[in-house]
Amino acid sequence: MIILALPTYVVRKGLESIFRELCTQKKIHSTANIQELNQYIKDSETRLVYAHSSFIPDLQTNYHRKDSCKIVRVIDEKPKELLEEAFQSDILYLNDDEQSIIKNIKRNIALTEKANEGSSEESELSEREKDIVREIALGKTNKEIADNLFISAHTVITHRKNITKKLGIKTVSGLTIYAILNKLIQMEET
Amino acid sequence: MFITRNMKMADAIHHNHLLLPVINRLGIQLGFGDLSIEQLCDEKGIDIDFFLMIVNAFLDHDINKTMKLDNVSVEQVVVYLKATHQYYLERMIPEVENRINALIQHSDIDQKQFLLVKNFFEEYKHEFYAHLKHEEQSIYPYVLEVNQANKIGKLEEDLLQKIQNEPIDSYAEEHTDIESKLFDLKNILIKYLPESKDSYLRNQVLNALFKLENDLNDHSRIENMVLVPMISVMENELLKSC
Repeated sequence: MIILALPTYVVRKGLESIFRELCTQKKIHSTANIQELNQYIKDSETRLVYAHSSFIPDLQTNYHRKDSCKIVRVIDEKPKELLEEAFQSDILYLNDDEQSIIKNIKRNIALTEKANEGSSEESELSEREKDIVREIALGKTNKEIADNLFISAHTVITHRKNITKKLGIKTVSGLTIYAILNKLIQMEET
Repeated sequence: MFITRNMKMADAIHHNHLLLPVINRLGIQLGFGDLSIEQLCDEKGIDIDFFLMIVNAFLDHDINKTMKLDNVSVEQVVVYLKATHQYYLERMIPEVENRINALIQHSDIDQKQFLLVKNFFEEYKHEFYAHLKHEEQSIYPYVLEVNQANKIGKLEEDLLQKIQNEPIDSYAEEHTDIESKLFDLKNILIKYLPESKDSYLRNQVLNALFKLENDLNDHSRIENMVLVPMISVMENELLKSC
């Protein structure tokens, strides 16, 4: 989830439409309200926040969250002395040129997508993951899978999460079909 | 874009044709000429504010910001939700089934693989039906009971217990497995069934699934953003009053 928190209506909507052009992530929320922003920051689904500098003093970031959430400061004007400065991804200047703004947004989207999905580039299952899919398709429970493959139940759960991310299939019946179509198991075995 | 009372109904449909089943369920059938939404609602005796709420909720996902729940009638919401159930049972599910059957009959690849899809959808259908039944037999009656108690300001003992044990909030989570199955089915059709010479019939199945999904999302949006918060407020008031 990406959150855009800016007080000015036109700017907020404008930034939102740039985000919608640049990424496929559907969950983009914009707000002009600091309480709402703080709520969003607590939400574990939030990965990226663009917050206007006027919100920064009231931002509550002293919460405990396992996974990171990147906060980018949005500043109205780029100081003149900074004009030639190197690229910074954690500050967005509203009066910057088109290229720099797009570069900033693209960079941050890429970062969150990486944090989001681990190695999302690979969609091939590893041999271990194939073993797990096979077991799931045969109707085994996490505990049984752990025993059969000599790994902990916790590891089984981690593998299952990664399998779902790679394949886009969440349910046992769905994974069973996947296993049959990819000849991980025979139809007669189910 | 927001649908407003002065807009012609035909223009609203041209704006987004997915509204067609929505207006049907609200009691409006095609053939309305150039009438505005207000004129049509008047003619059919439909509550215009309710009509606009449902239609805009369907189009605009962030309905929290745009809707006032104060004047919405719980009875009307339940009637609408039941009408959407009816539509799923009588139209959308059979439509998906017919298209899956057509796909199986006319496919150039191994029929066994398509039978997997058919069985998967059968399974989905059973869970889906069970879910709808649960809503109609337990949730909606409970909702109406709370609404009634709130109206007359009197709370019977057994309703009090229901509110304490199973408040409406506990039910908002329940949709998830059904959604996951639909999601899986789409990915199997898109990604994992082997390539065929012509995808037309497979597209047809997918179109029907996407349409069903879109409508179901709206259904749960109305439940989670309108019905659940309204009933939740009433529950709290009833608990306070006793």
